Amino acid sequence: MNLITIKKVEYIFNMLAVLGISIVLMMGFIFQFFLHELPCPLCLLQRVGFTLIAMGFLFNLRFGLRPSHYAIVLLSAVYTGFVALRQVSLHVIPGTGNYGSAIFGLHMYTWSFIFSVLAIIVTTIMLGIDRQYEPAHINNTQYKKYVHALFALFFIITLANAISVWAECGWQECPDNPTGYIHSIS
Amino acid sequence: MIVIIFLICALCTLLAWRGYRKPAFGFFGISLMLGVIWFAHHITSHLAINL
Repeated sequence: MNLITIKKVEYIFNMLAVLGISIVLMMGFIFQFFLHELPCPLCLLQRVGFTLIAMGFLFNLRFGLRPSHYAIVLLSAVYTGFVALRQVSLHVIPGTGNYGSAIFGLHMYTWSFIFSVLAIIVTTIMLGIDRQYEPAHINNTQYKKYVHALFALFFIITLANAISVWAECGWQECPDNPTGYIHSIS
Repeated sequence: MIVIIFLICALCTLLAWRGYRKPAFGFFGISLMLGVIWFAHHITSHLAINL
């Protein structure tokens, strides 16, 4: 595989990763607003983790492929994994209940842990391809509009998360089992 | 608290979008640090064990 192809594959991987994380975060909104499942503090911290993971991929798309950007992804994925594992451990013993509804038999915090581990494994493999860091002229103009669209989408999702957290908890600590919004969004 | 983390994340995204790499890196670090602090606070305030 030549250098240009490797770089193109890496760019497409980064774009798909941002898109995938955006879909995960939007799924959270669907459960929150259409199924009326309010996110708990740990759920919100997992959303923060996914937002931070996507940041590393966005840095790669905007500033070029660098190991430091993949390091952002890895650090954030480890953080998200820890938070998800903490929530799994709260409910793993039979009789301790669960939080939220299940998707394909697994709860969202379990999926969150699986996605974090997958992010760590896939990112480690991708960052290990040394040739992507070699200088080469690659025509980015064909990707630019997609990168800007991804930035716009992700900025809106992050801002929407901030507004929804403010509506749910305000500026103070979120309740462990939220039952309603303290500020009205509509 | 979590709303502040999301606002910093949004600012970080905006800075990266506009091409300011180092400030975006800085704000990423701040938001990750705040996330870790908040998670540590959550754990220590909910666990009935002595660490």
